[in-house]
Amino acid sequence: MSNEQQSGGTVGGESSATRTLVSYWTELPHDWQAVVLGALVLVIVATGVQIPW
Amino acid sequence: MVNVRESVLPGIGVLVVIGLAARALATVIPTSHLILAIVIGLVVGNLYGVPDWASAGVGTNKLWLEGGIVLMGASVALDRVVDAGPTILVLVIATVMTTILTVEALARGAFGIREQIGSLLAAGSSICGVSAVVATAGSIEADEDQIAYAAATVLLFDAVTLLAYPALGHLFGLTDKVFGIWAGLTMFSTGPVTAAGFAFSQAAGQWALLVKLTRNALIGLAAIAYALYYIRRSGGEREDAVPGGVGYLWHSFPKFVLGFLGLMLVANTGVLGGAQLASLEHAADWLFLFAFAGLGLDIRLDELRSTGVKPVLVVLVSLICVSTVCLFVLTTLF
Repeated sequence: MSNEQQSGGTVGGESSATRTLVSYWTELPHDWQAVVLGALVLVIVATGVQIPW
Repeated sequence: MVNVRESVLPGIGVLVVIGLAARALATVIPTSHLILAIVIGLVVGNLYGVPDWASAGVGTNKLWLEGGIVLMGASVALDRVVDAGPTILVLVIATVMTTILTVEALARGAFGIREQIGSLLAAGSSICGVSAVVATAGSIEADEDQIAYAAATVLLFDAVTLLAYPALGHLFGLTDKVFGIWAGLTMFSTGPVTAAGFAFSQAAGQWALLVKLTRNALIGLAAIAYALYYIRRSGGEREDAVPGGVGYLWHSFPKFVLGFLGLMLVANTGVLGGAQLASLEHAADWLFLFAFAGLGLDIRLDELRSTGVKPVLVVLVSLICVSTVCLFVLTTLF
């Protein structure tokens, strides 16, 4: 196993789960990315996090 | 695999710095921070350019714009949409059709421009700017030069109307509702419409977005209509060029509109409290700020100078005619 690839599938400091997530994200068309981004912010705000202006 | 953090984070950092500078400047200069973000981006981009290490991150500005639009859905009252919906729909369809016919008539009749360029200008002016130019180009087999020519013309008007509309709105003493609907009906691309709307007022921005998203939803229909028209003109030799029905409509439909509608429905069920709605609005404002910094960085003044006189005159005359009539109708209706 190379220095870059550690046990648990870590390459260059990124886990395989992160890489999979990044891969899904980059393949998503940008208008769907915007929907996911909006949903993510909605969930964060719904859990009680306040976003200041 | 591309390291996303290395490729986009530096550019996003640039957007954040410009956005924060615009906010700081807005405390000194009595101008919208959104407009200031665009102006700072435009000045920086044209004086120094966008370095390679920042270009991928700066290119994410469309995502921040669309993400902000999705979040803005939470600020829109459903009953207001239901009340105004039929009127807005009629206004959108009438304005889109009038703009297409005016630009086409001016381009072919008064100015003798090649019909493909006229059609690209008509689509860009009537629906959603450069996105409509590109979508329509595929339907009418326009070449790359024609696309670049039409896109540069549309971008020139985006830059000018972005500053001119809020100034005219204040000069004429328009209400938030009238200004928002006017900007949403007659300005070209979604980014400048959003910036101009929110630069005028929060309520005007919401109206502008609502109307503009309705216009954007017509992009697929316009592309199909143009394809059918050009096939008829060619005597049916290009039947393979017709975009494929419902599938094409879905493909060309801007999906972030669904996110906007989803957030609007969620917010209107009453499950979110006042603080949560305020947070969503703040998040949208931040995203718009970063988006508009990128929008300014993307504007290349030397490219805008490459537009021809005739296309600019066609779009200018059409814009003046259509926006004047729209303003008269809107001040009468609302």
